[in-house]
Amino acid sequence: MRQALRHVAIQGKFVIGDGPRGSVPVLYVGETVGAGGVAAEVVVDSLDCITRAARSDPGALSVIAVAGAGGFQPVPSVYMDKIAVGPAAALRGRGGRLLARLAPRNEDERAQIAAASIPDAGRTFTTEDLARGEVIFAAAGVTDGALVEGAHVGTQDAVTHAVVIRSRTGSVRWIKTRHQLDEKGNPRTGN
Amino acid sequence: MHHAEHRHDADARLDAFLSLDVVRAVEAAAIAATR
Repeated sequence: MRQALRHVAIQGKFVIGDGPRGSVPVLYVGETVGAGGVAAEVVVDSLDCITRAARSDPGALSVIAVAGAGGFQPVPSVYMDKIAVGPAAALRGRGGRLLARLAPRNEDERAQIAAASIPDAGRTFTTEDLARGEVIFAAAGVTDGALVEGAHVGTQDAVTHAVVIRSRTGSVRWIKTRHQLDEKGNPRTGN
Repeated sequence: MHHAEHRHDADARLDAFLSLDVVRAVEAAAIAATR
């Protein structure tokens, strides 16, 4: 994912990534991304539902959302109580609503919330609190799920199923793609 | 073309390119996650 984002025409920064700086080699919070251009904030979860993916259970996804500067409420990677299920950026794109509240399950998660210095961290966050302005959301299936089919990966090619939602237009696109893979097994980019 | 229309057209093109780029990013991540 990091490689694919390198050429995007944004001056982007991960506000929610695969982990804090130092805990993961790439896609960490605060890492800059893009080739320069419009200031943007990027949220990624390169493997949502990691346990499902490990067991080949349904519903594992790769997820990304892009918004303008100040578009996302940065929250630490702690458990949240939600009354609508799904990524907030996707709900914004489709006119949906989400109410969520940080619900730490242990001392470590409580410490992460304290370190994040979120004003009134115990409040209920609305969809607009979590994703403001124009948002582009995309997800691709790792395993088959209700939203998208999973990725079917061979030795020389792969087929992926993705959905991309734009809040500006409200459009929802379903994209099935056959990729040629390079010698490392990554999609050939042409770059 | 009127300046505002031209600007709108350019914005729309940028938006479309960004949409495709973010899709490529999650597609690559999904393929990597299967390994």
